[in-house]
Amino acid sequence: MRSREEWQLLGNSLFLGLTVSFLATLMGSFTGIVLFKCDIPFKVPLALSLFVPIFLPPYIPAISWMDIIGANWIDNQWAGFLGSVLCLLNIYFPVPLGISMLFLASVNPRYEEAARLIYPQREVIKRITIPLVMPGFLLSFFLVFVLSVGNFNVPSLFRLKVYPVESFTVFSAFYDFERAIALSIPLVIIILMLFIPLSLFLLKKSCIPLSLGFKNVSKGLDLGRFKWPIFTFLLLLSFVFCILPLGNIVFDSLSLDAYRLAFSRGGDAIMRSLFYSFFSASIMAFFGFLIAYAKDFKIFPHLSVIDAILLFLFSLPGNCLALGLIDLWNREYTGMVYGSFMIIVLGFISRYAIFSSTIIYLWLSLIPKVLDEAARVFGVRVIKRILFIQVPLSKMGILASWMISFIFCFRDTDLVMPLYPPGLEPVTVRTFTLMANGRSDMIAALCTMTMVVPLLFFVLIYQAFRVRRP
Amino acid sequence: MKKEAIAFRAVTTILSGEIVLKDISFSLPEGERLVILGPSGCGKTTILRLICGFLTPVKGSISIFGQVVSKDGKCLVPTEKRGLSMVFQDLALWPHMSVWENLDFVLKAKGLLQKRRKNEIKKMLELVGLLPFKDRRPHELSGGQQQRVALARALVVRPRLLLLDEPFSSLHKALKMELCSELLAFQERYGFSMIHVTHDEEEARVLASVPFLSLS
Ligand SMILES: Nc1ncnc2c1ncn2[C@@H]1O[C@H](COP(=O)(O)OP(=O)(O)OP(=O)(O)O)[C@@H](O)[C@H]1O
Ligand SMILES: [Mg+2]
Repeated sequence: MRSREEWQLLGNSLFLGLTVSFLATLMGSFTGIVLFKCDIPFKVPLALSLFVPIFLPPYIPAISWMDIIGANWIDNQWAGFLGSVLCLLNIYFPVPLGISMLFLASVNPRYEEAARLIYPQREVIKRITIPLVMPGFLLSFFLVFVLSVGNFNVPSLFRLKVYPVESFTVFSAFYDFERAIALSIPLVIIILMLFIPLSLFLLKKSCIPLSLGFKNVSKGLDLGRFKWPIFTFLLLLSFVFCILPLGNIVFDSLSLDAYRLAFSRGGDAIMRSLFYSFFSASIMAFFGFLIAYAKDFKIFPHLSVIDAILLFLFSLPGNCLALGLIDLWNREYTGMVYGSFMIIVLGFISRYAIFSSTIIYLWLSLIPKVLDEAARVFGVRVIKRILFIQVPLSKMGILASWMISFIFCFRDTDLVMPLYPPGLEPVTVRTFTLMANGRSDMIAALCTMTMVVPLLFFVLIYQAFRVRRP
Repeated sequence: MKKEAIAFRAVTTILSGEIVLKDISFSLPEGERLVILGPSGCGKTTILRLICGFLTPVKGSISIFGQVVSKDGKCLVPTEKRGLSMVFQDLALWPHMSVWENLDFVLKAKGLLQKRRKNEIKKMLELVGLLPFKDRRPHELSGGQQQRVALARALVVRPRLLLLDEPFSSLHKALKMELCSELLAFQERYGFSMIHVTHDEEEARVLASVPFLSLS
């Protein structure tokens, strides 16, 4: 702590993180419970639209909101703060939403049915369901906190002084590596302080959902006179968090000229992004499967340590993880990695591997152990048991993890920003740098392409697979 | 004297700090049928899991056809090399494979050639009356048919030792007796040794060829 300025940085970062995570956890968990448990019309489209923002590069909602509010409005730190809160809420709202739904889905319906015999449904939710999914709220709060204090794009657009922005500025404008590292250490300490008790708590209670196999079929709870107000609230959320910001971007981009320009300025970067994401997601699916398998079959003791490490890497601010990787790989003998796209892939893997290993593990743990044991009794060797029993039975999980890792790699901005070797930047970085002086309709077109291209890519892959298997 | 298919010598097993089996000894001569009887929770499944090698005894030894496979907390021969065959309590038919593929997969592990496998599977499915259903997945069959598939899968490898863990417990009486006599016919035909776990005394009397092993 050198000066008043650093206290201000710390204050801003903490205040921003706490505000966003408090609001997001409250709203997201509430929405998750309503969407999962209650009888609300248009559940599926509502839920889908609310999930969209987490899959986009974080600067997309940010520039859209700046465009909607008007950039000259942001003339002081308070305006920057409010703008950042709005955008971060927009981006990270899906985290508590998804986690609460995941935890709800994992509650054995038997527990609720047993209580249902003596209590009305509303009481059952209050007394049984919510206490059971409580750890999920905690996890949501933690994740939104680390994601929003670590976010670089949003506060940097809103000119809010927080650690990641300062650290990156020092690194890129003054090439002061040591000072950049020093500026990211306070956040690492704070995250560690939250992380250790949380992971101990989660480990001890073993409350990570493991029983997604349950079909939670209970009929939606009738909300009575709250039904239409709550529905209106959800509709409003979906409008404010999805339709308005994304619609605005797409609307701004609507000219052939903008797309022609966007393609000439960013086409190569889009192709590179596709390649990096495809490559990283595939590696992660492979190793994620191995870790998940080893964990599921308890091949080594204490494998949850790997998960703890991966979760910790994910919780670090992207910018800070990048500095760590540079420090590690920018050496005489590893120049080949540091100077090539491999450093980006390494970065993606260290940041997002937690997704693939967890998703595949959840899937594997649903497969009854006796299916593997049966094959063992008949003398089937381990490789064949993996290839012919575990892999086919978990292929949907592997695919889901692959797609999610792909999208997260594709949308990543703050990790690759300090990391990419010259001339190899992905589309998110290209867009972010063009933003400073590029035409706004061209930027909007680039953003739209960034949203649409991964989807087209998935369709393409799906078609390719369908053709091969008649 | 006949060779011993299975021999337990003073086997003690501890699961999560609790003694489940204490000082159990028994043996099964080759070609005979042993029935293990006992109330729920007495350790019947545990005995079969010990034979398979999914568990190892803390004390005592287990041998299969004269070879010591587990001894004093050490697993000497891994499951897949013990040459066993088993019908599981909840069948464990692989849900992503058809009836045919379920049988084919276990024969492949034995290293049989394609043509041989095809013959064997066809013969076996004909015997249990399931040839018309060969392309169905397990969940597209009735409970009794699934039970037959599990039996066919266990028999198609021509086992020397067959383990059955309450395979008929979920079936009604008539079907149970029908499958018992089918099983007996197979045993007489191929002459394998078998261990059958049940809590149904009538089933036990029909199937046993040596005195029951009663656990309490
Ligand atoms: N993984 C385990 N950890 C601790 N105790 C166990 C475990 N598995 C089984 N047991 C205990 O071992 C005892 C024997 O279990 P086992 O499954 O062999 O019973 P069983 O005779 O097959 O019963 P059933 O007829 O109900 O199938 C039981 O009392 C059970 O509580
Ligand atoms: Mg049992």
